Amino acid sequence: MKAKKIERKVSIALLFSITLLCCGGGQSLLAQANPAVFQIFEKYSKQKKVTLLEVSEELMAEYRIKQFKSIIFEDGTLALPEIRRCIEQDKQDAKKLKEATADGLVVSGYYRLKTVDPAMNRYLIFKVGKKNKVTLLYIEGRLTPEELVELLK
Amino acid sequence: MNNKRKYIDNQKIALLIENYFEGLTTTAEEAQLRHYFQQAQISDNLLIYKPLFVALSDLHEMPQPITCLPETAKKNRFTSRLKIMSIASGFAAALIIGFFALFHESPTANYVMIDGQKYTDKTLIMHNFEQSLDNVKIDMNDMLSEFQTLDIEP
Repeated sequence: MKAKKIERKVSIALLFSITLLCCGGGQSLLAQANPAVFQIFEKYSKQKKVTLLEVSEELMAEYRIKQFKSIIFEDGTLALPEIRRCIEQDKQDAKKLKEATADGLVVSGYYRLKTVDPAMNRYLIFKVGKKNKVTLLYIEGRLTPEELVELLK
Repeated sequence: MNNKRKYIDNQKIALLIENYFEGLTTTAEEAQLRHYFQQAQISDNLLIYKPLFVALSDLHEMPQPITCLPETAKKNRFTSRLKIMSIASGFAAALIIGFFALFHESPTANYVMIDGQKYTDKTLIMHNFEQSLDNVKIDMNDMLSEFQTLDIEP
């Protein structure tokens, strides 16, 4: 009986510790839940006529960027429906900064994704250029929307 | 009469001893042998076995080694094993979570992948960074552009 009680106590303590770890250590992890467009970066990164860029804080400190990811399709015709689907998904939980459509399809979009840490910002930028040249950007860092505008001028 | 009975007993004991050395005696028979050699009157022809059975008797009366733990000790052992397992599981979970968080939280990779080929040259990385930004630049000169300003209000 006593052993069972102790066993229960230990189990509760263990669960509590794991929960704390998950909440404490994993809080930022949850905040940085990957947007749907990340699957585009992963899926098409090794394809021909595709340029994938991944830059960390180490090189981006002066821009106050913690993580920068971009993918450029020389011709994104085939990938466009999937990209748009992912953007639609990410848009649902984002603030639309600017969006342009043509024939009912998004051709450019600037979105600010939600974060738990108010000091941290995440942006998703998408643009279809001439000959279906597609550029998709993910920027995460302390840079404000104003700073983003300056960067994009 | 007594002598005859004594003779029969001695014969029986002699047979038991023989069986004992053959390994054919039961526990009860061995106890009987030990009991026999505890008494004062032992047949002369069996006296030779007395030291052996007295020693065996003494051994038998010694406290038995603990072959099974009492219930409380079992419980304590179970509890401490459980504790160790819990702590170990906790550490393992923390390590996994920590590794996962670290792996996802701090992207240290700096690279550019062109046509499936990976490059880590800093100049090339920065060039592609500029290129990516150029592709999504806001045209400030085009008055009709939809991208003159971004809605940056919170």
